[in-house]
Parts: sequence; structure tokens; C-alpha cells
Amino acid sequence: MPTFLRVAMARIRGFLRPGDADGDFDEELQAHLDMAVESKIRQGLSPKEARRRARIELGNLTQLREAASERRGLPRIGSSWLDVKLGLRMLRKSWGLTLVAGLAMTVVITLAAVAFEILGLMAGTDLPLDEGDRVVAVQSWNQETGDGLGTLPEDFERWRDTLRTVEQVGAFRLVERNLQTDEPGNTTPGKAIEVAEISASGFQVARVQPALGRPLLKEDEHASADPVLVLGHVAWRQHFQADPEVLGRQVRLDGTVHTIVGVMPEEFGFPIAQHYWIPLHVGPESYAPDAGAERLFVFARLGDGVAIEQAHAELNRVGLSEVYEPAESAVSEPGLRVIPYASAFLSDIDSWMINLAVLVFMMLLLPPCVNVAILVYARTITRQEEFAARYVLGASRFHIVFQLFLEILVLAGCAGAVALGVARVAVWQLVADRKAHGELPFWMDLSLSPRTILVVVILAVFAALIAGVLPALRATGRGMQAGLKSLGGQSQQAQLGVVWTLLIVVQVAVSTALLPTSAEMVWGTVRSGLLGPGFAAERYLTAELKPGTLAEGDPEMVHARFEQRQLDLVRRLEARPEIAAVTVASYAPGDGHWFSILKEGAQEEEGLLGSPIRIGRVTQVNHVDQAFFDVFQVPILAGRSFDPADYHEGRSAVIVNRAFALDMLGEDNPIGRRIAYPSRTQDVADSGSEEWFEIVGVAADIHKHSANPAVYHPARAEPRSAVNLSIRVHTDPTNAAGVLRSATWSVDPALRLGEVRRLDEIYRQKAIGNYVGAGTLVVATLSLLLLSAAGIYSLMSFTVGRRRKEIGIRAALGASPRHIVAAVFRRALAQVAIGALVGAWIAVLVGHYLPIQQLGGWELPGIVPATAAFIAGVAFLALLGPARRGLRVEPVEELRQG
Amino acid sequence: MSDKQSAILQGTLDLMVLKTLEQLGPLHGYGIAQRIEQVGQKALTVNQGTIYLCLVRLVQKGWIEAQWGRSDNNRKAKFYSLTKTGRRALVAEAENWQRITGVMDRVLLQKAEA
Repeated sequence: MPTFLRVAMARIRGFLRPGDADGDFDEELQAHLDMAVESKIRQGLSPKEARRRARIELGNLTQLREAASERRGLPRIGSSWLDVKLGLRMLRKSWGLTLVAGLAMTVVITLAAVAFEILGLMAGTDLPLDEGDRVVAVQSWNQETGDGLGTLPEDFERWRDTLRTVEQVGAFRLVERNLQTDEPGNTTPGKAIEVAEISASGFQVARVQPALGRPLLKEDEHASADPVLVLGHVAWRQHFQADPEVLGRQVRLDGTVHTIVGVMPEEFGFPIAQHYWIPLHVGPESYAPDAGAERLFVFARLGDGVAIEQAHAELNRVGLSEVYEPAESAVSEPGLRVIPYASAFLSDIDSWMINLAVLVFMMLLLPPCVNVAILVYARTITRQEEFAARYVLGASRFHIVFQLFLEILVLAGCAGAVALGVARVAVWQLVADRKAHGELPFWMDLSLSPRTILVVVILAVFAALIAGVLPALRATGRGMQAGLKSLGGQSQQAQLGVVWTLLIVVQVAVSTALLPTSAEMVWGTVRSGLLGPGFAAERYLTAELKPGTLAEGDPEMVHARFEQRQLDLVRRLEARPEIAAVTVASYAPGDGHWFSILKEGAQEEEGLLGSPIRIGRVTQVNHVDQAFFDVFQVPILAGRSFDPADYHEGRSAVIVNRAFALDMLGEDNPIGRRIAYPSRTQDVADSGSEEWFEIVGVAADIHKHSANPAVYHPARAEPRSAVNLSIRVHTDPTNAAGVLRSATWSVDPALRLGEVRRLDEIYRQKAIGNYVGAGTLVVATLSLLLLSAAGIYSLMSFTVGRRRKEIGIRAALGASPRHIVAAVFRRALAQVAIGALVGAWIAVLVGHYLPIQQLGGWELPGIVPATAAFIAGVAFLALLGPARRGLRVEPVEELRQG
Repeated sequence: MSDKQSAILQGTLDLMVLKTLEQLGPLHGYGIAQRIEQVGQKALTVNQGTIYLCLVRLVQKGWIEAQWGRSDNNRKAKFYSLTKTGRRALVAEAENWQRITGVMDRVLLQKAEA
């Protein structure tokens, strides 16, 4: 081994275990001294003199230890460790700066860490299976959009029989079924569950053994085989109370009896997040064109020693069947690909998007970092004498700058550590519960991703460069001369500088400008949660209703059947004594409404007067039945409600809510105005056949404390895959959920009723999400405010520091404290006032042009002057400390020093 | 420093330590310092502490190795000994030194003749 390599390795060893070598070295020196003393005593010296001489001959022990230590460790890092320690001491000393700068950095880096962590969750593709990287998706895909396309059963069978580069080729599709357990006396309707119809090879590909019983077998796939079911761990616990005797029990899936043959272990969710598996039946009977609607997702394991590219090439040689060319090919020729399994369920996240995201967060980090840089520079100036002294003693400028960089890096590193911790907790809060309930893809990994850690490190270094190096370079440039003069007894001439002062003023302006919008957004977001919906939401139950297996066959027939079942169900529910009213709409109020962009009607042609509707706004859209407004007890404020004729084909009446009328038209009467949705009618716009809707009535807002504009359309005969059923109950809604289920079941077991929830629960859950969003905004705004206050504080502190002599003279001449403060801070206060005024002016402009209600905010009258006053108050508080210091200046002392 | 004493040239201490260890076998730092002073007959001043820095350097290079042991007076001490690499390095360094001193002699002789 070359000598230099041996030395390098020895130094790395020494760096990693410095304590051992140091102790060893001390012991060795002590042994040397002992021997030397002994020898000198033998030569006739007294013990005291012998010790003295031995110490002199050996040399300075401290220097020796340091030299040896430096020699043993890594040269630069070893000495940097001292700088880090010094940095920590400096951060502790100037704790105000540490707190403010640390908070600002923590906020931004935390936002980045959470964002990247969620991105990592979504983009993770490592399967937690035995040789999971060998499991692949085999699919056709749309070459324009990049989306995977389903596979026809005949293609699946052909691929399974012909492909040689992959093995255990399997397929699945997800279907919905009503589950009924076999408990004695169970007459309750089934619960809608998602079931994976999967080929038996799926369990071989996953290489996971059942916790109980057996997986699906090849024999189960025959059409004549007895129907069997394999349960997931979650399903076993939830519906069978983890009964160890569950094997052999029977359940009904859409009325068909299935025997439970196995229970899979926890965490098993293959193919995505499933808890029920039934055999997939394929064969020539499923080749019929109608059955083609339910396509398959094909997967496999790569053969031994086969690269994914080889499988990809073979698949492209085998190709798609010619008989049933997919309909999508009319748009573009579908491609064929073999890709890592989980990638098939994720949108492509290109690396440049990740880089862009990092760049965006760097930009976000820039304003707080510049602020921190101001504070660091302000503090650095006070340390110029220290730097000058170190410079004189031989430290290079690089070393001084590097030390300041390390100081801020230590701070940014702490901010990064907090950010990682918060990201971890946030992700757990967001998804751990869902993961435990098996609602997330089984491959989703909740541990901190290396990419997040890397991004946090990059941001921390970036922050340290901006906030540490920039002010350090400036302070060690010309400033060093001032420090040197100061060392020589001349008075300090350091100044904060125009650029830095300007930055503080801009900072104040930005705070004043952003605060009103921020306050309005926060209030708009939390308002509905805090004030409640404004109506008795706890007396409403709502659930999604789907046609289920009614949906098979001719779409017209499906719709007619579904419509009829809805009417039957409504009638049946209305007959129940505990239910006061029933309504069917496309969405429950306030839950998952559809957004669209409005277009203004041709008023001139219609001869309508009034200001134009503000186009380009978004609104919630709901299709409702005639009972909707009565059920939610919403009065019609102007115009009329829907009448039966509005539900006929060719009618175009709509009702808007009060928020819509106010937001789109201001004080104008909306009755008779027309609207259209450009996004819907873009393709027919040229033909002039755009669909226009006439406003016939204005309803009160259902959610009294939410300002979302809404447009209600009559729920006409349009084929729909799902509707929302809402009921109002007389008393306790708990029992009504069961009533709703059994009524649905008795109307038609094929219907699927989703989770029945109380409206107030839906609103409460939504409010919690809003609180999190608002909380983030509050923290970000407060940190901005804190930075402004700190900036003002620095400015004032420097003003006092620079003008101590002047204060001394004024005090000596008998000026009153009030006059001294006014004279000294006049300039600084004027700068802050200019910043606040400019900010207030920008805030007024923003308030005028920004549709705050549309963005989820709530207009607060008088918010701009209130925030300007608040900023002034903050500035005043920041002024108090320096002012008090200024007034404590001893005139005689200052004059004598001058 | 008296006029008759000379400071050790940079790098020569390594050679002295290696040679000492070759001649006397495993030896502790104090012993090495004593030996160098003895051989130098007080014509050389060696800051004894620097011997230890030199020892650290040589151990890192792999030319010597260290082991704790007992001295003649039954004191615990760290003993250094030459490694195979060290022996080879000693030969090479000694040759190098000879070359340098030869060149220096010639230079100084020319100067005297001139």
C-alpha cells in the first residue's frame, strides 16, 4: 500500500476515534516525564528541580498535545470542529438571533421536507416483497399521455402462454361487491367492499404465505369451481373478529356464496391495497366485446437472469391481439411496455421536476435567508475587533469566513434536524392510520426517504451560504480595516450600509403588504370550522349511492333502472317515521362539489342591463332534485325554486346561492342573467351550440359561514355513475344509518351504498384539514413578522451604537429623554414608516385585485389599517430595547472616550 | 542555544529515529531521545517533545509500530520497533541522505577552493 494511502487511512481512523489516541498520547508523555525525573534524581538533582528540568526538555505539553491531535485527525475537519464548537457558543451567546433566524429557516426547510416526504411516499416504487424488484407490470400504454391501458383477457392469456422472459404471469381487476356474513340471524344488508379478482399466480408472484389456510389456487380459476374467498388481515379482524375458525365459513358476495379458504398476513395488500381476493375467471367466454369494458392489469416476475429490457423487447415482439384493437388506438397507437410494478400506478415524476421543486424551495428560502443575513451582518460588525485580532494573529480571511459559514450551518443544521422530525411526524399523522387500515398501497414506505434528507442538507448548506458567507465576506472586506483601527484605539466607524437598511425597509413593506391577505386567508379557512355550518348538520346523514351490478349492459337501460331504484328508495325512506326528508343530488352540500369556470351571457342580445358577470371565477356546481332546498331548509331569497317543468329536457333554469350573486354580480339582480361553462363547451363553442343556463332564483347559503359560490342545476335524466343521498332525521341519526342500509338492500341488493356519515362529521373532518393549512400559514406569517421585528431591532441597535457620543453630548447639554429618542431614531423611524406605508398601499392594491373569497379567504373590513398599526406596534416594541440602552448612556464616560 | 549547538534539519529526525531503532531494537520515546542526544554529543538540540510527533508520523506511515510494555525500571512505556517497510524506508532514506551530504560536501569544497 502506498505510504500516502496508509497515512490517509491512519488519519481517518484517528479522526473517528480521537479520544482513544489522545488518552494514549497523554499516558506516553507522562511515562516520559516519570522516566526523565527519575534519571535526573539519580544524577543528584532534587525532585522539584528534576521535575522542572524534565518539563522544560519535553517542551510545552499543551502545544504538543494539539500538534499530535492535529497530526492524527483529518487536517481541515479536525480544526473545523473547533469552529463548530465556537459557532455553537456564539449562537448561544446571541440567542435572539439564533431564535429568529432558526425559526425562519425551520419554517421553510420544514415545508420543503414535508413536501418532499409526501412526494417520496407517492413516488416510492420499492416493493416490500421477496425480490420485489423482479416484479413487473406488463401493459399497453397511451404513448401521448403516458398512462397505462387495461389489457384484454385474450391478450393476457396469449402473453401468459407465449412470453418466455417472464414467469408466473398473472392478472387482476378490481370489482365492487356487497358482502354479507353468515352470522346466525343476520338480515342486515351487505356492505360494499372492493374485491380483487385475481389469478392464483398473484400469490406466487408475491411469495407471501397465508397466515391461515391457503391462497387461491389454479383450480379455483375454473368457471365450474366452487367460489372461494381469501381474506386480508384487516378484513379478518373487522368482519370476523379475528376468528381462528374462520376457514370454511361462508359469505355472500352479491348474493353468491363464497367459502373462506385463507387469511393473508398483516401488511399484505397485493395487488395494491386489497383485503378480499376471489379467483379471476378468464376464457373464451370473456372475449365478448361487451366484457372488454373490464380490462385486466397484467403482472409477472422476471425470469432468472433476465433484464427488464429483454422482457420489454419480447413483449413488443409478441404484440397485441389484432382482433380487438383497443378503442384508444383511434387516438394514438398504444405502446407496449414492461416496467417496475409500482411504477404502473404512479404518474411519471421526472427528475427535472424534482430539481425544479428544490429550486422553488431555494427561492422560498431566499427571503428569510436574506433577513437572517441582515441580522448576521449586523452582529458581525460588532465582532469586527475579534476578527481583526484573529487576522493579525495569522488567521486567513478564508478561515474567518469559513467560521461564520459554519456558525450559520450549525444553526441551519439544527433547523434541518427539526424539519426532518416534523416531516416524519406530519407524514405519520397524515398516513400512518390509513396505512394501518390497509388503505394505502402496500409498498408505500413511511420511513424517512434519503431524498428528503438530501434535500434538507442541500437547503441547510444553501441557507448557510446566503446567511453566513455573504455577510462574512462583506464584514471581512473593508470592515476589517475598521476593526484594525479599532484595535489601535481609534473609534469604530462601522455602518449598517444603505443596502442593508433598504432591505429592512423592504422587509417591513412586504410584511405590511402580506399580513392582511394572510389574515383574511386564515380567517376564511378556519371560519366555517370555528363557527360551525350554521344549520343542524348533525341531523343529516349522507352517503354515496352507486348502481353496482345494475351498471352492466346497455347504458340507457342502466340509467333507467338506476333512476327507478332511486325513486323507489326515496319513497321507501320517506315512509319511515324516523326520517323527516330525503333528497338526491350529485353531491352533498359542502362535500366534493364540482368546480368550473363561468362565462358571461350575451347581455346585449338579451337586452339585459347591469354590470357584467365576473368571468374567470370558479363556482361549485351541484345537480339537485326538487326536494333539495326543502330538505336543507334553504329559503329562496329571490326569484323562484325549481318547478317540475325545469326537470324536462331542453330547459336551462339554474338557481344560484347568495354567495354567487354577491361575488359575481355585486349588488345587481341576478335573475334572468345567463351563464355558461367554457371548460365544458370548448369543443362545441365554434359550432355556436354552447349550452346557456338562465338564473331563475337565488337561494340562501346552506353553509352560513362559508362563502363558496354555488350553482344548482335540476338533476335531470343524465346517466350517472353515482349520486349522493341525504336524509334529515327527526331524532337520533345513529339508527337511521341502519335504516338507510336495509332500505337500499330491500330495493335492490345490486345497489351499492357507500359509507353513511353525518354531515357535521364530514364538516368537522374538513375543518381539521383547514386548521392544519391555516396553522402553517400562521407560522409562516409570524416568522416573517418576527424577522421584520428583528430587522427593525438591528437597525435601531446600530443607530444607538453608532450615535452613543451624540447621545452623550445631547444628554450632557440637558436634552430630555423624549427629545433624545426622537432625535436619534427619527431617521430610522422614518424608514420604517415609509416601509409600512408602501406595504399598506400594496395591500390595498392586492385587496382590490385579488379575489380573496374565491381563494377561500374572507374579506375583513379595515384589515389594512389594522395591520399597518400592528406593524407600527411591532416596530415600536423592537425600538424599546435599543432606546432604553440609548438613554442609559453615561454622558461623561462617552465624552471622555471620544 | 549555544553557538556549538545546531538545530536539526527538517526531516532528519525521522532518519535518526529509524536508525536508532534499527541499532537498539524496540525502544520507548524517552530512550530514543536519550540515545539521539548521546550520539549527538550535545552538538544537536532536540526538543524531546518533537520526537513524539515524529513517532506519530512514522507510525502513520507504517514504518514503525508501537506496543505498550515495561521499561527496565518496570515502568509502563510504549515501545517502538521498525517494521519491514520501515527497514526498507531506512535504507532508501539513508542513501538519499548520503547523496545529499555528498553533494553538499562537493559544493562546500568548491566554494573553499574558489
